[in-house]
Order: sequence, then structure tokens, then C-alpha cells
Amino acid sequence: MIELKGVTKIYGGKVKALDDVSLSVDDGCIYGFLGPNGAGKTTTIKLMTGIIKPDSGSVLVNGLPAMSIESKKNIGFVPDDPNVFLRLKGVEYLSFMADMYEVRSAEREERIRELGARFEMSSALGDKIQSYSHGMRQKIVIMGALMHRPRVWILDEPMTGLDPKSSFELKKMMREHAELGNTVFFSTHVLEVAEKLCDKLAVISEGRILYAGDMADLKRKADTSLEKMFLEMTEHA
Amino acid sequence: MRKIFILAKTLLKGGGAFSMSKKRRTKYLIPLVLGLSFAVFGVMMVMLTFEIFDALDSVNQADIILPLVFGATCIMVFIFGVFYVVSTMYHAKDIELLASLPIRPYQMLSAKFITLVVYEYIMEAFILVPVMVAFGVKSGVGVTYIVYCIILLAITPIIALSIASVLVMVVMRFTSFGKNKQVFKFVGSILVVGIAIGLNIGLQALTGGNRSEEQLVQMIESGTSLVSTVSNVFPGIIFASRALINSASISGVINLALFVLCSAGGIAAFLGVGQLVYTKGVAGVTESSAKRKGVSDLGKEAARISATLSYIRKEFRLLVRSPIAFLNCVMMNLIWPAILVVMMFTSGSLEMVKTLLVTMDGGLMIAILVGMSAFVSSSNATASTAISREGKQLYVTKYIPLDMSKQLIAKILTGYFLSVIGIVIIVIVGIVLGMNVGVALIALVLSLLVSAVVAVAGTLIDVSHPKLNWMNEQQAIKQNVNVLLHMLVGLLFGAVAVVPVLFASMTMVVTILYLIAVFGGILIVLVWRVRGRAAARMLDMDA
Repeated sequence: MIELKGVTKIYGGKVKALDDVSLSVDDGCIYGFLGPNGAGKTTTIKLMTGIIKPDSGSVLVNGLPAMSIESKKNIGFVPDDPNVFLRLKGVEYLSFMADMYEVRSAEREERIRELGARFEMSSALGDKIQSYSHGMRQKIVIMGALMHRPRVWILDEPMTGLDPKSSFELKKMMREHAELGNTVFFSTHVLEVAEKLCDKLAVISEGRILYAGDMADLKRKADTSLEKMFLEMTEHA
Repeated sequence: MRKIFILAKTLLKGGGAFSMSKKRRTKYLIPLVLGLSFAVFGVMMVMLTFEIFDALDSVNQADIILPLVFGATCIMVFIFGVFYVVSTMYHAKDIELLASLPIRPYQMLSAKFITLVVYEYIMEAFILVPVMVAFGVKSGVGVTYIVYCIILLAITPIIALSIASVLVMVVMRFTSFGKNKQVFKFVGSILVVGIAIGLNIGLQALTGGNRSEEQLVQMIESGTSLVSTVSNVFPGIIFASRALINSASISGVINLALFVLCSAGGIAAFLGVGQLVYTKGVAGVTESSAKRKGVSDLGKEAARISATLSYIRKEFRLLVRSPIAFLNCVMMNLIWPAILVVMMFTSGSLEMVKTLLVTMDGGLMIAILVGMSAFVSSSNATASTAISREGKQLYVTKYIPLDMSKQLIAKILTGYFLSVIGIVIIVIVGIVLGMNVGVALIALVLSLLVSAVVAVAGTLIDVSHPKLNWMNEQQAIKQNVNVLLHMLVGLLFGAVAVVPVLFASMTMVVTILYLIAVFGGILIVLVWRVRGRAAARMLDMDA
């Protein structure tokens, strides 16, 4: 479970990226986070993963402060930029992540094989990440985030650059992860993905939450498409 | 032409070569420290030139100073140029982007060349400017001398830089024949650096290295001149000094014109060779082999180790696999001891060093070795770019569940382990040359202590104002003021190790106790700071 209470984040003392944001992300569901470019999606995710501190308010992950090491151990994070440690080989990156998240020896080999097969990456694990395409880099970062079977899985624009098959596989894995009682939170601006995949969603614009709730409720209340609703909400924000 | 200058301006801005911290506390501190260092060095150079001028003037040979200094500047420009050319023209990430722009290869090469000339002005500021000033003051010159100086300062780097660029381009072209271009280009980079150092050492051997003032006068009188050697290596450079020496007469204008012509020739040669070999040499520089390979022994590759050890292993892998990091962080530990050793052998001071090693007081010898270790440790850029190298991926250090102070310690240890290589070489050379083994071992242990202090200090410097906004690793490592600051700190620690021991004539036991107390104390304070404020500062950074 992720909880943000009255969170404000200001960059450089001037730019207010988040303004009194409160959000509650429950276990066992896929929570989508929608917003136009520069709305505050990545800032919110950085707060959840302990990358940055809020200027006011609190961020708790499974009841622990997001900045704490114990909280970070619970999270699997997929950043929006997959260009990480490009000079490491795929397997070295996965092994590094496994060491960081203290994955047991017996488990990690099996996990690498399993994830490698699901993302069709097994034959490329001996190569440097530098030689991977954007999509392959995205896959290796996703695999790294899942090495320790995190309780909370946070993904920032995860579908970018993925081929249709991998995108399908990722969505399937997100569903499986949520069904096991874990938390899955992801940002996107692809409305079709949000519409088909999310149980709940929040819409953010200019650092404020415009809507947070069930996807089904939203569909029931509105007599129009999600795209139209999204445009109306963000334009009138 | 306009496109070339716009591109050069953009590259210089993007490079951030002269960008400083925007934080209030450090905004003025760094320029102040650098300005002071330059001022002290400049005054020292001016004073030294005055002395040499007087000595040579007595034998009517004062005019030899200018060609000597132009030669020295060319050598330095050439050596640094080789490093710059390899990293700017072959390993920079902007090459792919530039290749996609509607510009011709010669425009890109020219723009890159201009940026390199600008970087070389820093070198000139340290060597050429003070000597020009001193020479001008001593020989009482007019306005034309000043005008010529400004013109010469602007174009002096061109010839040496052209030679360096042509050499690099030819070597890099050749190395692209291999199956694994990455490996070959990597080896090529190291080869070029090797040639540059070899040339420097060779020149030193040819010219007799550090001779005394009397020997220098003798050498000039007997006609075995350094000038002719340097002039042969860098054609046309002699015209630069002749232009200044004869600045009051028509001969000055002619020589200046000849030097401008030679420099233009250098540019023409650079562009001509560039047109022929550059595009093929740079093609595929960022490519890797397309054949995919799986993992043969997954159990071994994925074996569990502690998080801190794994972090250190990751740091080593990234350092060794990046050509720029490898040259500046790993190779540098071998280059400095190698230069010191070869200088000893080629300058004829070997016998003197051997005698000193046997006769010198043990305490002072330990202090000198510890001082040298402090400098050698600070000369590798590992610790002082530990945070800067993360660049825009700094956020990774924040979300992985490893305590920030442990991450900083892992980064420090990486720099420390690399420094140990240089220190061990220095001590081994000392023993080979006849140093008492017991004294050498004590010096080794104390050097390991001072090296730890230097590594921690380097990382603390980088934590306080890391350079994170970079396009290529060269900007993070070579154009990072923290590296220079770290070297100054290394020199300072070196002075702290040697000067009090020398002036207080400490016995060996007192020297050992002094070094342990001072550097042990500093280490405790700095490590305490790493675990406290530095780690907190890292977590506070907006990544």
C-alpha cells in the first residue's frame, strides 16, 4: 500500500511540482496514474521510491517512510529512462540488482531464467546493455525490478519502446502481480492502456490530483470516452 | 564558416568546460581557489623566468628562453591534445547526433578542433603567458610585442594540436579494421596515449632532462640545442619566438606571417587527413557486436556477494569498460609512477637518487614517499568524479536499498584500491634502487594511510558540488574542476607530510608518529563526515 498525505514538492525554491497531493494506492489492484507532460507524474513516483524528499507532507509505503531502506527493499522500480549501467552485461546488471535487494542464491538463478524466458532475453544476457535496443533496455530494467519479487511494483511509463508481444507480456505480469495481493502503480499517457489495464486511476495536472478512484465508477458516471474526459479535466484544471 | 562557429560555440557551451557551481557557497569558492592557484603559479613562473633570463643574459643567450617555452608549450599541448582528441572526436556521445545534422564532416571536425584549441588556452595560461610577461618586462618591449603576444597566444596550439589530431586519426582509422571495434578502438586510444608519453620521455632524454643552469648554458654554447630538436618535431614553432624577439623590426612581421602560414598548413593537414580517414575511423565507434550471446555459467555469473562488494565490483566494471574513465582513473595510477621512474633514468639523476636512498635520513625518506603517494593518489580521477560519473542516473543511487554512506564508502574504496597500485610501484622502485626494506615497508603502510585520506577527500569534494549535467563522460571526468581541486588537495597533503619533517629535522620515530597522528586524525574526521553530512547531502539532492 502506498499513501501520500498532503505532499508538496517545490524544485529550486520556485517551481511547485506537486501541490498538496493526497493519494492512497491499495494492495491487490493495478493503479494507473495519468497526466499530461510535466503534470507531476514522475515527481510523484520519485517521492514514492525515496529518490526525492517532499517539502511537506508524508509518503508511506507499506506503512514505512519512503526514504527508509526497509521501504526501498519492498519496492521494484522501473524508471522512465532505461539507459542505466550501459557498460554492464545484462546478467551482471541482474546480479547487481539481486545483490542490492539481497535475493537468496538459490532463488536468483531460477528467477533470471524465468524472467529471461518471459521477455525473450535469455540469449542476450551475456551482452552489454549498451548493445541493446531501447526496448531490450526497457526489458532488462523491468527484469531487474522484479528480481526480488517486490511487494510494491512502481513503473514510470513502462510501455515506451516495448514491442507488442513484450507489452502484452508486461501487462499480463502486472495483472498476475496484483492478483497475488501486491501493489502495482504505473504512470502513462496512453489512455487505452489505462482504460484496459487499471482497476483504479488518478489524473494529475499541474501538480494537483483532479480525480482519484475506481475506473469502473468513472466509466459509469461519464457518458463519454476516457480520452474526452481526460482532455476536459486537464484543460479545465 | 558561420555554421562552424555556431557549432563550436554550442559544443563549448554544452561541454560546460568553464561552468561552475551555481550554489551560493561554492559559486565563488572554486574560481577563487583556481584563481589563487594560477596567480601563485604565474608569479613563480615569472620569478623563475627572471632568474633564467639573468643567467642566460650573462652569456648573451637570453633569447633562447622564448623558443624553449614555445617548445614546452607545444609538447604539453600535444600530450593533452592526444587525450582531448581521442575523447572529443571518437568517444563523445554527441558524434552520432552531429552526424545526423545537415553539416559536412569538415564543418564538424573544424568545430571540434576549435573547442580543443580553446581548451588548450588553459595550458597556455599556465606556461606561456607568465614567460611572455616576464620576458617582455626584462627586455623592455613595445606595443608590437604585446600585439604579437596576443596573436601568438591565439594560434600557438594549432600546430601541436594538428599533429596530435592527425596521429590520432590515423591510428584510429587503422584500429577500425578489427572484428571487435570497441576493443580495437579501446586499445588504439591507449596506444596513442602511450606514444604521446613515449615522445615526451624521448624528447626529455634527447635534451638531457633537468640539467643545472650551468649545464644548460654549456649545452646552448656547444650547439646541442633543445630548440632545434623541438623545432624538428613541431615545424614552424621557431617563427613564433623569432616574431617576438624581433618584434621591433620588419623581421618580426615576416616571422609572424610565416608562423601564421605554418599554423594554416597545420589546419589544412588536419582537415585533409580528416577528410580521408576520420569518417571511416569514427564509424561504428559506439557500435557493439550484433551477435547475441547467452550466459554459459549462470550459477557463477549470478553468485551472491555482499551488497557493498557488489557495488565496488560494479564501479570497477564501469571504470574499466569506459575508455575515458579507464585512461583517467585506472591508467593514471600507472602513468605518474612511470613518468617519475623514466624521468629518473633519462635525466641522469639515477645515481643521485640511489645515493640519496642510501644516505638520506629514514624519517625524511618516509615523509617524501608518503608525500609522493598523496600526490599520485590524487592524480587519478576516480574518487573526485565518483558522484559526477553517475550523471543523470544519480537517482539509481537513491532508490536501491543500500545505505547511502555504504555507497559512498564503496565509491571511496574503489578509488583507494586503484591508488594502491601506484603506491606499490613507487615503493617497489625504491627497494630496487637500494632503499632499506624496513623503511620502505613503513613508508608503504603510511602511504596506504595517506592514500585513504586523499580518496575520502576526493569523494567529499565531488559530493559537495558534483557535475551531473553532462552529455559525455569526458565532460564528467576531464572537464570537471573537482579533479583539479583534488590534485591541489593531494599536493597540500604532500606538503603536510614533507615540510614539517624537513624543517623540524624529525627523527624516524617522531616522523612515523607525526604522520600517523596527522593523517589518522584527518581520516577519522573525514570518514565521520562521509557517514554524516555527505550521505545526508546525497539524499537531499534532487535527482
